[in-house]
Amino acid sequence: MNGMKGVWAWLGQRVSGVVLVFLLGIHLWVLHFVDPGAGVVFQGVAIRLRSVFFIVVDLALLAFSLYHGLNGLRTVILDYSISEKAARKLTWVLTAVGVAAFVYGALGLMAFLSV
Amino acid sequence: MIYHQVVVVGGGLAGLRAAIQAVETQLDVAVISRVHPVRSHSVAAQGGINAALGNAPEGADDSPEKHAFDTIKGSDYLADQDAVEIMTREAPERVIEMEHWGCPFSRTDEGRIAQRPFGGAGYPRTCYASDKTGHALLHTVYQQCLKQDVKVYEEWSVVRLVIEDGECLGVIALNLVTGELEAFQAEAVIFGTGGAGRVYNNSSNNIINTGSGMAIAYKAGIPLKDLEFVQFHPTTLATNNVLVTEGARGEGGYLVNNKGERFMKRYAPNAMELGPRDIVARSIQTEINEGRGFEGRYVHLDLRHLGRERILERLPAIRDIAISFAGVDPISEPIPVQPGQHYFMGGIDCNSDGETRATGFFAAGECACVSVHGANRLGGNSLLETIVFGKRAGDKAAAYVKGKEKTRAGGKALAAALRETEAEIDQLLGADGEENPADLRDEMRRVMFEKVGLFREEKQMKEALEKIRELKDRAKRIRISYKGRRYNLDLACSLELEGMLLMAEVICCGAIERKESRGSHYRVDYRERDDENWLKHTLAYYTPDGPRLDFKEVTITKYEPQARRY
Amino acid sequence: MQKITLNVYRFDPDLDQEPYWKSYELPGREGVTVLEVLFEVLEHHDGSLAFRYSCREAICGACAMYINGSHRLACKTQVSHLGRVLWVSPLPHMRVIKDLVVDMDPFFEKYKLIKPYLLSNSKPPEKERYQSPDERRYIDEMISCILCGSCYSSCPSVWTGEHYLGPAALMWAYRFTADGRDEGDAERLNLTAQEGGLWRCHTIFNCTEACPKNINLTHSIQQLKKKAAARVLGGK
Repeated sequence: MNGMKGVWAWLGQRVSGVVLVFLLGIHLWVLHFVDPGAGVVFQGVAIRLRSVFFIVVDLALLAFSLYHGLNGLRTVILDYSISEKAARKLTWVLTAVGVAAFVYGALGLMAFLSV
Repeated sequence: MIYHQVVVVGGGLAGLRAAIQAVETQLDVAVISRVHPVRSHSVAAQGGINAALGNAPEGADDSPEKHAFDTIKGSDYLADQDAVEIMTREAPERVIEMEHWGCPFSRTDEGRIAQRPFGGAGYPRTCYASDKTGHALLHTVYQQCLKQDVKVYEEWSVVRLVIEDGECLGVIALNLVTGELEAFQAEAVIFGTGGAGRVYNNSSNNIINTGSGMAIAYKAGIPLKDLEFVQFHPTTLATNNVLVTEGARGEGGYLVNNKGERFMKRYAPNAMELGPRDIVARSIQTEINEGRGFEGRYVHLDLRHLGRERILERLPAIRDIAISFAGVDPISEPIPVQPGQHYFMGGIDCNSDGETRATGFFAAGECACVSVHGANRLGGNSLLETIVFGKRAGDKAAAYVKGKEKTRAGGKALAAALRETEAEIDQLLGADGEENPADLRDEMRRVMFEKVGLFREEKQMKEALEKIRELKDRAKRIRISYKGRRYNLDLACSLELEGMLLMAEVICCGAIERKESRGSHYRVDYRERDDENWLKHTLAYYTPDGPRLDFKEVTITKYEPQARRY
Repeated sequence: MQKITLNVYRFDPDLDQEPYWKSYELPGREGVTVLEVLFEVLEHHDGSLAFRYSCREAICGACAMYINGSHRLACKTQVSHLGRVLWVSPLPHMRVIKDLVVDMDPFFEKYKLIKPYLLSNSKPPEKERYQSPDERRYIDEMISCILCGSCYSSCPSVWTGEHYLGPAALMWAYRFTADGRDEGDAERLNLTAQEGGLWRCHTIFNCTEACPKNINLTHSIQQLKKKAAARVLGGK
């Protein structure tokens, strides 16, 4: 159990938390103030999702919130003193879930780029 | 039967220090303790530990010789001077060792171990960790035991010491949790079992300080030395006799009577509040007896002029204690204090290596009498005694074990002792008596404090002795209400009662016999010290009909007895 | 003073199927503490009662219990502060040996695990090591710990995770790393900054609230986390 293993996950949670505050701020600001006229209609969303800046922000938002959420879930499960082997498995499963969700989400975000 | 090469009985400072010493020589060592080691009474020591380090500016020219002189004068010349010289010479080394082990001593501005003035000392010599020095030291030594992987049997109460033909074979102990008895076979046994403070009412001691270690050794044929010398600490809290450290006066606190006078000017005009404990305690009691106390039972210890900051920095635990147990904040009000039983100068007769009359049996700390405290101990010397003589006893025991040819002896005798003890306990549990052990204990405490206390007189002491013998008799008919074995406190306390009554009897006999006043033993019918007849130690040997007394010379090296003035 | 009603949690695993509450009516007295009330029961009403005690002055840590809804030292707790009715039970979430006596072994094993002693490779000087009064003051609160187990018993991360080191052990680890005389930072952080260690503290503050010596354990644990993070970021 050597090597200060827990420190990265803990640090990552703090850093992703702080980053999320900024990303969410940008996300909300764009939605409400940059093109408030567009409203929540299909056309408006399609136009917004052609902005590379907005896609980059939302991809980052997706990545960080997946990390933060899944790492938080991992923390809760680790609180029950599961074995090291089980913890490793858990990390792999959650990573796989995170990557899959990210790919799926990224495809959705980039759907209008080629239109 | 459990076997260890060295068995240490007692998890306080003396016992643990001895255990560390023996473990370092690669012996198989185990500690047996009535409570978890950090619950031992050493933890309650407050003010500090003496060593002539010369760290305070006013103490720059302090030396072990001066420390020895103060200790011997404080002892009213009853201390063995060679032993005192050993203790004061080894003091700096032992204290520095504690620091190297991580003990969090308070510091001077330069970063050295801070030292404060204490009673009866010519220099500020008392090293301290605010007012929790015992706590700091005990935790440090316990931590070293963890580092060294010392085996500890927690919550085991030793009930018998087995000695055959002058050789110690081991002990019989009761596992409090399961209620089972077990024999411990050992090449050497070291007792660091503490004092018998709870033989008295108004004791500052932990509740567990019943003197059972001394009593067990006494019953096994080892003489007890100077047991009539019982220290009464001048300042214990008037509500429940929790100790209020001498450090409070060392930091500059005043003792004040109901007329607002600093009355110590009448008793110790030079030392004032920092006279030795016997003198200050008697002075306070005199003030109270003559109507100058408060509510007829206490005086005031005034710290207010020290100021908030100094109290919080140097005496935080005293403030907590005063608030918790007397409802008084020393920053704004004086603390109500009265003398209370505090320490046993006497104990198991041993030399400066902890050796006793039985080979393989050693003693150190308050349960032992080397003697370095004589008739009155100076504050700050008891913590010192535990680590100096704890180490020495550990060393000597280790050397003894290594030089031993025949090992694992006496299995038969131990098995027999185990069977006997088992039968005694079965009988005790089965007996259908009518006496409540707690009531007998309370009566003993009351009579000891009233009649063999600060001021003693023949007639009263004889009454006390008669009472103690009556209680001993009644103790044969006690009833233990709980018959189960698991964590039976009723049984444990009843076993301790027998030992406490033995200790009380020895104190009474020694005090009646000693027809002089010396240190803590103050007789109103013999007010002077009598070096011609009584410059000697009392030895008490167990017989079923009460102690047989004998005497032993005091070792004088270079400090001729002189009048004691402060 | 009015009579006191003492309700005590009773359980003897040898005899009882399950724990139960037992009530005693006792005379009150000014200044009486919970510990004194327990002794009154033991010595005059019920010799089967089991509890731990030693110093009766809040310095040995033997008598930590759960009294009227809080972790308290029985010896320091005035009955008059709690009213007429007392509810006394053992430290929660710990195995009961009998009545108010609990198994403290896991607590002390974890304390031992963090190497609670000065670690130093350098040869100590002839005299004492120097330490400034300020540095000494910094550890003052932490070293007042009496190892009573209140914090450990109060910590939800301890309740769910049997391998979690717990507040006291982590606080002691920080006490040593915060001591300038100690050189064991790397070793002690390796022991504490694992998944089952430091990171199971979620700043719930129960330990700090439960501590009868008013130690802010949560603060110490956070400081230790900071030390661990600084160490990996500093690449040491």
